[in-house]
Amino acid sequence: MRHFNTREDGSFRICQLTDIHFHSVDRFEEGSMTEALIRKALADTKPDLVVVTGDIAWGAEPEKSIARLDGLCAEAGVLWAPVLGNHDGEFFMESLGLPREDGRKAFADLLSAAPNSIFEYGEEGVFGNGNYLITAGGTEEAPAWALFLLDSHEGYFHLSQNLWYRRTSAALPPETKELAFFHVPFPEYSEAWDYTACKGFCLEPICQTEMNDGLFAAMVRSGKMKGVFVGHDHINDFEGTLRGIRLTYGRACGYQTYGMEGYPRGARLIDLAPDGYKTAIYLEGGQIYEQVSIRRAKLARKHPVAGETVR
Amino acid sequence: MTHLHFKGDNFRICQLTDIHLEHDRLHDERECTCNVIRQSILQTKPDLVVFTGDLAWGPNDDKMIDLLSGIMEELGVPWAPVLGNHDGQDLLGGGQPGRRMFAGFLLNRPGSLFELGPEEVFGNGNYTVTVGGTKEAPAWVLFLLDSPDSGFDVSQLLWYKNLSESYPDACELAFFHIPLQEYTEVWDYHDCLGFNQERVCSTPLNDGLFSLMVRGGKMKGVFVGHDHINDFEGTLHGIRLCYGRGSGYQCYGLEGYPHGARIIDLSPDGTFSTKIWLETGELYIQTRRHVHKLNCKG
Repeated sequence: MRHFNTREDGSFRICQLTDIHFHSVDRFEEGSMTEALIRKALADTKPDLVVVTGDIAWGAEPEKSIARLDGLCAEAGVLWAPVLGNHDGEFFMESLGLPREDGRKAFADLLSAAPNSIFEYGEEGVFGNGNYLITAGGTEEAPAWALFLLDSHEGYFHLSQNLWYRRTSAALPPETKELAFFHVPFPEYSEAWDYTACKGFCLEPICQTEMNDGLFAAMVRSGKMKGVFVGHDHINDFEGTLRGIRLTYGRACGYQTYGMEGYPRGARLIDLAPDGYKTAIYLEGGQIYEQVSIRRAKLARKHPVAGETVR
Repeated sequence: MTHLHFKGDNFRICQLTDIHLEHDRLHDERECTCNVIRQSILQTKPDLVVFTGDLAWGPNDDKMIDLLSGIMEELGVPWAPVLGNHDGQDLLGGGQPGRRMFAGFLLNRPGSLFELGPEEVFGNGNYTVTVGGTKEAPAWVLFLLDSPDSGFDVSQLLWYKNLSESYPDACELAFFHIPLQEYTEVWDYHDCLGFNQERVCSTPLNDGLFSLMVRGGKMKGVFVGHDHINDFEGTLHGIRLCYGRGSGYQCYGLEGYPHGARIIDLSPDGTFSTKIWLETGELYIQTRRHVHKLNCKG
């Protein structure tokens, strides 16, 4: 487990990059645009940590793509913490015929080997590649912030991951604030968008985990989780609050994959402070803005809210 | 854990739900409820009766369970109850102490298969009944669960998963009181049969029991109560999600929506069919079709 000190005033800046989708063969020119965006974003925003929420590379020679990203972080003098997306490791499955988990393990090996990555495989017995914890501020035993990085596979969480989150969270002091980062949104993102007021864009259907595996419920029950950050849907960047947890998309930065005309690529900034966090969108042009456009909920509540009398 | 046998190639379960027996008021209505219990069982001749919660309310719950137990003894059919959100709410100030006391009323009754369940599993009454095959390798395992207002506890998820894995060749059904959030999903996004006349009142959080059931691959059907005027059925990820048919008169209902029961016929080969029994004596397969209005999300 990696522990970071915050700056003197207790602040700590995370830059979330998502769906980079570097490809070493196809659409090489557009890859240079992704590279330029990441270089500029890191230089402009000077984060203390980069979190990459999946779909880092696709196509042949993923090691080249990972080296490309690692080089950009080295240049900016920042470490990066990745989680796997559904496409990561696909190359090893499709070209070498490896079973899914072996293909993902091979990809995880590349992440682990990258000099500036702080990727960890995670505890034995916890399903997946890369379920790990990063702490920031306070002390290692009593951190101010705990970041949970999870492998959302091709769209699900295993019970062992849920149990890992529960016991790891329970072992942290009550005043520690938690954030979570993974690739595929869980179904509560749809619930937030449909039934609560949200900020930002939802320009494509929320491509959520196939079923509800109860991870969000575990986070609510822990009482420490403040915010969740995902990717996967390249043209969604909204944020909504459900049962006290801010559910947030990153802002996709990959050019070698789908996007949308008039929707610039970018990154998400997360500024941790002793009393909470703020988040902003960074755009390719260098603009940084806090999301304000509020889209009101259109539908009446679906599931009862906590405390509502049941029949 | 009780093991029951097939008689021939059918095993019939009668699900009664939300009977809401109350001691101190609406005595005529109580007679009607008792009549539904008696007639549904006499007419459909089940091998097992499952009560999916809200058995009684008011301060004299023990007397109402005496009444129910008397009826079941007279009919001579084994019965398996689970607790609903109202069960025990007027005992010891409600909460877990009230529920524990209520659960005590269900123990050691003639024909009652109720068990408190393992100490380390949250709730009062998480237990199984096995049907067909042998005790060690049954054809069916029925999971009866205490569904807390706040959602299932992780100890209940683990209990289900571990027990399910210990019967690798069995088919499964589950019975509990409060519908899963997936009942809303199946109604909104899939074609269903039957009535949905009030909002699905599920728990505020989804703890992932349904996803465990799907991944286990053996769960065939889930049966709940709680919403008195819903009786629909829909299939999601291969699991049939069914409501019972409200059976109680000492609580809300709807004009023109007769009280009744759900009948479930199990085959030794792992399939089941289900029908609605009405107080009028009618027994029918649901055909009233609701076509989903929304496009699939996931």
